[in-house]
Amino acid sequence: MQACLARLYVDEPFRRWLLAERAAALEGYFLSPDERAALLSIDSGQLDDFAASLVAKRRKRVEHAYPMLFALDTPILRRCYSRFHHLFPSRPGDAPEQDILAFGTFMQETLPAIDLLPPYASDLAKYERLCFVALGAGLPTSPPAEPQLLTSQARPFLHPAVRLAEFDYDVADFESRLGVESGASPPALDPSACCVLFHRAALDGSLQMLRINAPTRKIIMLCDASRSTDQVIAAAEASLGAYDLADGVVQAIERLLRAGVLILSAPDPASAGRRPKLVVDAGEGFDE
Amino acid sequence: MTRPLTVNHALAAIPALGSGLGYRRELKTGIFDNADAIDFLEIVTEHFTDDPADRGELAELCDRFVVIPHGLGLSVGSDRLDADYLASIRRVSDLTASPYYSEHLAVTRAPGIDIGHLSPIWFTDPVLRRAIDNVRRVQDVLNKPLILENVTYPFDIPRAGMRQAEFFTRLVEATGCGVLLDVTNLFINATNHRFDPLAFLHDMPLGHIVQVHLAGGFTHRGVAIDSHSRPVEAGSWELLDTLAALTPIKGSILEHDANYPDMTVLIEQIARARRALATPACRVLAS
Repeated sequence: MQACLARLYVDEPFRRWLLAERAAALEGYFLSPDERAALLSIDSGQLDDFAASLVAKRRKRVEHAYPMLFALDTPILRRCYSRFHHLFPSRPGDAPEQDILAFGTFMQETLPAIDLLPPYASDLAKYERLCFVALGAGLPTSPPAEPQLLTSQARPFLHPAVRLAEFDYDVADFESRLGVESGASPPALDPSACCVLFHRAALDGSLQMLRINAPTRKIIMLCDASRSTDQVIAAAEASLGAYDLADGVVQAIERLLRAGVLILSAPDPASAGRRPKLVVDAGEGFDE
Repeated sequence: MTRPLTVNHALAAIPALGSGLGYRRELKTGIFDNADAIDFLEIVTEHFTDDPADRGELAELCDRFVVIPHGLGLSVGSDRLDADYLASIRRVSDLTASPYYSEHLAVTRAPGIDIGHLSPIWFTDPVLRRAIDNVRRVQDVLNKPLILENVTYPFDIPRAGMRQAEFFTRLVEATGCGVLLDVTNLFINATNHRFDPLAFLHDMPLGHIVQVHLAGGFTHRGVAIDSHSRPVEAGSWELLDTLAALTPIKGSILEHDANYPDMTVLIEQIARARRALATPACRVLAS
């Protein structure tokens, strides 16, 4: 009975099915005559109102995490949310954070096909999802208390709490142009590919975003703990088709170490088999 | 006629806590700035079950206040309790060293479904038996009394074998658990479902009432909404005054979750609740 009631609350097609075909809808439930009679005599209008309040409550959490996205066009975004709501019902044990992340991923995939929204809407969903990820990542990135010695055999890698992502639009524009124009028509933005590191500052836990250029991105991608500094330099030179990059690569790595974005692993080759996972936004390709 | 008071020793041992506030992070600075005007805090358990950093915050609260954990996801009316969830609330409950743990008399999940909110229990004998088993298990795991709150409900589930007050009475008599009477929920339910809240009070097991909740809501299209976003309404205060004259109450918590006002607005309401608890029935506790 309680399982059937719960489904009535959260599953709109099931409610309609129950009205249309009672026997078929209830086939999977083992109800006594009293239970069946009780279910069928619940006021359907009140049931719909309660169900709508549950949808709104769940959606409110998502809207809170994606304020700029929903500000683009709230009615359209709520229609998209409705699709998400039915495709991804909440399961027991799911943390609210999972719901918020799943919504962002779903919208990244969904929005490119919706012409009613600006073409950067998908990037915006991704951007706000990564902001949420970075803030919820737990431990902030801490620059080392002591300067780390970058030897030729040291193996730098990305701090596990840092997220690296690429965008077709400049996310700096999102904050400066979308954040202050709520209620206005969404501005037109020109595509401008960029790569951004997301992490939390050690000092106050605030969200930090660091826009990086293509060579720096390349160096970070090579710093996966499997390569020594010398090997990173060699791989960067090969990849970029240039020579004498040693100084530039070392300076970039040292700068990223000071920021806490990269950290150093033990220079023991035996540890390469247990290297930490390089955390890159899902769906991003490696171009090596 | 009011039900006779029966004394439960575990509940009787709970100290008088006074008048407090539901802890919300948005209010943290104001709470510490006004600590002398707040007798105790109630936290939402689920806000402290995951992140170790949250436990540091909880320790900070417990250093200054008596803290009562208040859960949302136990789902006492479900067929089975979630063992992992029980373990997680046990950790929080132990950290607070609270004299009791509070939850809702409600259902929040079923197999494969997270309802996402408190939903009403069907007041029947089979559900009562299940709730009794669940409450006993929770009290065994937590090793302290559980007190259960009356919730707002959008509709009655038809063909129930008993009323809510009888369900509460039989549940507390079988398990020794207590009642967290949310007088605002009672006020809202009485308004929306058109029943006499005083008659409800008289039917409740008053001797098991440990704590009360107060909050303010609004009315939308003729329906009272429990939004926790406005000052407590007169109807809720009247119910609190009536209840406090009928039975001792160990503590009162003001819940405010949105549209946060200046702290003075909250402190005034906490003081108002403290005065209500100072009626003769409650003074017995404090002496």
